[in-house]
Amino acid sequence: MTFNALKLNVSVNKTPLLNDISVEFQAGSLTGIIGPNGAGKSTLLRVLAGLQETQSGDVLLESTPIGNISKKLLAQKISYLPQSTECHWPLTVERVVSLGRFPHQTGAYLSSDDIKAVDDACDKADIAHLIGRPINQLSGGEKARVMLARTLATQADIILADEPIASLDPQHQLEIMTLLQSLARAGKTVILVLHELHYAIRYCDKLILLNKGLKVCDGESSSVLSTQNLQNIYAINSISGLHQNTPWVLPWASLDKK
Amino acid sequence: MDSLSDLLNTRKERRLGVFLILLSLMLFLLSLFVGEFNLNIINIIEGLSKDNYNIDSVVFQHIRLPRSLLAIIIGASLGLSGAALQGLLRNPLAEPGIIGVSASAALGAVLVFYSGLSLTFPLALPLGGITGALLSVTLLYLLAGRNSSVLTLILAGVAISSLAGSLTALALNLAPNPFASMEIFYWLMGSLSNASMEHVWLLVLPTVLGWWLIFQSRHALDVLSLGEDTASTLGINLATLNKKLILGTALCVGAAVSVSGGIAFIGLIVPHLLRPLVGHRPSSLLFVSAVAGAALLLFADIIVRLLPTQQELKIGVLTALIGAPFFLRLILNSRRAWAS
Amino acid sequence: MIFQRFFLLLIGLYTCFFSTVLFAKPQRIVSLNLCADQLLMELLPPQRLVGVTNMARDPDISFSYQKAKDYHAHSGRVEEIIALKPDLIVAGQFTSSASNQLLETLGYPVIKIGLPYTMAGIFEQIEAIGKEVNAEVAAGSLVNNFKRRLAVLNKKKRQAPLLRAIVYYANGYSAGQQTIVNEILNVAGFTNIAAEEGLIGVAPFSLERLVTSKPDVLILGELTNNESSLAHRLLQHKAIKEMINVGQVEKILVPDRLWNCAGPSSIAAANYLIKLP
Repeated sequence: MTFNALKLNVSVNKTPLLNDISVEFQAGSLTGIIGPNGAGKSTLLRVLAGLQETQSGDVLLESTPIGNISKKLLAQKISYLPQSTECHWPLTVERVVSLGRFPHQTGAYLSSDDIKAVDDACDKADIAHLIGRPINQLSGGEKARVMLARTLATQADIILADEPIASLDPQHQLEIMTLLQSLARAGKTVILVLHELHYAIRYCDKLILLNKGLKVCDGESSSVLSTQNLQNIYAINSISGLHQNTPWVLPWASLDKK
Repeated sequence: MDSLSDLLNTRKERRLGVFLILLSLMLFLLSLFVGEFNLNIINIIEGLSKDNYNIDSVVFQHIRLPRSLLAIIIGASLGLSGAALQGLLRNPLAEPGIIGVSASAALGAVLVFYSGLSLTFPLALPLGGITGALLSVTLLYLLAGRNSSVLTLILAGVAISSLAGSLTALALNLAPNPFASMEIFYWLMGSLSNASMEHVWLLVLPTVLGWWLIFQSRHALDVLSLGEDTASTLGINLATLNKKLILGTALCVGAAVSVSGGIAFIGLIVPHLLRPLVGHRPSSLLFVSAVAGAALLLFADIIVRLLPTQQELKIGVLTALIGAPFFLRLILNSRRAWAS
Repeated sequence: MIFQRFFLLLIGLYTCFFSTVLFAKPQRIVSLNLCADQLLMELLPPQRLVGVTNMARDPDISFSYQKAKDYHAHSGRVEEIIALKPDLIVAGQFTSSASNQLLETLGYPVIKIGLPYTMAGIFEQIEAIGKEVNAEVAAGSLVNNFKRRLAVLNKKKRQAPLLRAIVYYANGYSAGQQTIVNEILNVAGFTNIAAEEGLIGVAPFSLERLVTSKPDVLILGELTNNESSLAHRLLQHKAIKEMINVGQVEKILVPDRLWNCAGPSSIAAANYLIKLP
């Protein structure tokens, strides 16, 4: 399944948010979109999800612009997990997760396949023990995992997630990143917006670095998160290294703007 | 612990639905036979044939039956539209009375009624109500739909209610008929007295259409709990959904108010009480709110008929007497949550 | 000293003036009330009754609308009334209008007439007013005229068994005991169902009670152009039409002007009901 963005230009209220962005996403890979605040990361993700209109440019799924694909079909192929974990009504956990099956349902009926998918998603996101509880009684981290389970329940080929581990404790951060990586290995296209550079460099096969609406570079994680890029784009000094043959990076000091 | 498929099924809700239907039927029968005059059932049954048509038949077919049917239709519309508006605006306080939809519908109906238009073209009356309702729901959605803050919604509702109410009073004052200006109370408070079968026929088409539009959207309302962005990525066309809900609500509330005046609070009380019983799911709430709304209005109407007041109490007064304190309690309990 | 005498002189003059006003017979009378208009027009010529309400000329509500053309009509405003230079003002007992009170404060004598609900009451009122406005002779002959016509009516009207009638107004009101309508119905030879059921005054009478009261005669107001109100729509309710069909009820439409006042119109109303000229 090929999925790519071609020359995206987005402005809202005459403010340019994305400038001529082109990216290719591979099936079976975990791609991270990174960059400082206001770089346009969430905007790019929203465009990929079909939520944001572009002034020019296209998002192509198997060479078809997503605007030409029916909403229902698109929803079966692309799953989107936003930053906010809002659920307006205090639904129970399993009900929330089952909402992820909506693109596959006709009417209210949940087939045994649907129920299996919900079960599976709850296991993967480690929230099976929370089933039956209303979502508003859960902690921030638990809510985030329920929302992730909802995304997984759709069993879409492409998963878009906006800062999925931001409110999680370290254990769950590691578990979710491992989960997302394994989903990518299983053939899905996983695209994340991340702030956590140490996870980006460790788990992502490819990184896209944005700054002020422009694509600075994309490619293999360590090369994107080079000391130079971190200095120029993030304005920080960092330290880095290798552990168990996996690169790590740690922000160390802020560079003075002067 | 229940299995996942048990939790995801709707058996409990179906039971609730059946219970409410039986309750409504019972109240319907009660409503048919409660009144100042004790009807003789035998006379009524005999009176079904033209030859044996008698006074009991007249009272039953032309006074009791239309009134009871209107209570069901209007009560269901009010309960359903309350639940629908709450799902659409993602706000538990949305209710046609509180947010000014009923007042706007009344304005539309008043303009049509007192100008004499509805005498030549009877359908103009519900159409007037529907137009008024449509304008206000659209306005409310534009003002407060995106931003689901309680404060914005209530303020918009207050503004629309006041404007519609004062325009209605003005229209009634300017109306040529001398009784008109005294009838404002009827339009703002609502009443089912003097209902006739003509009213029932006027309502049927727009009401059923409105109900259908709303029911069609029930699953999308569940998904809408996750916010508009997520709902859109799950395949929901937001524009179509909003239009269906707005139009559906306007149709059934507008038509109802054009016949009975603005009966308030049913759409607030009923969904609020039933929501915990259906797991807070908007989709399940719609049907049970409709049936419970019918039951509640039937009940209130029976009481109004039994009260020993010289002139029959306007039913809206009764629903407000129950509903307003209920509303206050809601506010008190959730003050902190809504302060943001 | 001088001031004391001046003051006494003033008091003296004032008392003279006042007693002149009090004890002289009124020559210029203004009426502020439709029912008073009709009564006074029977007793006084236009030279003496210098002002009637502008409602007196309205054929929908005034029985003496033709007679009123000869009289000057005022709009009810105090300045206009004062300009007519009245020495007596006749108003309705239950209209506690600001105009009445203002006129009283300004020193004009105001007498208030009530709404009698029997024929005897009407006769008493005519005679009392006749005394007040210095038209006792006219009052006496008016009363005698009425008594004559009442006797004629008595002979012509239906004897037992009396027909059962009910009056139904817009908004679902009927006239029960202690109303002039009730008296007129009795005088015309009907039983008033509303009075039978214990209704007092003009009071609400529900549609259901109306339909189940099984009247022989249903009396409604005459239709005007303006039927667009909920109050009027009630009179067109299907149940009333069905009741008329099922019970073979006779429907009589009575113009409001015949019995919205108790007085000269009342005999005409009774005659109308039994279709006498």
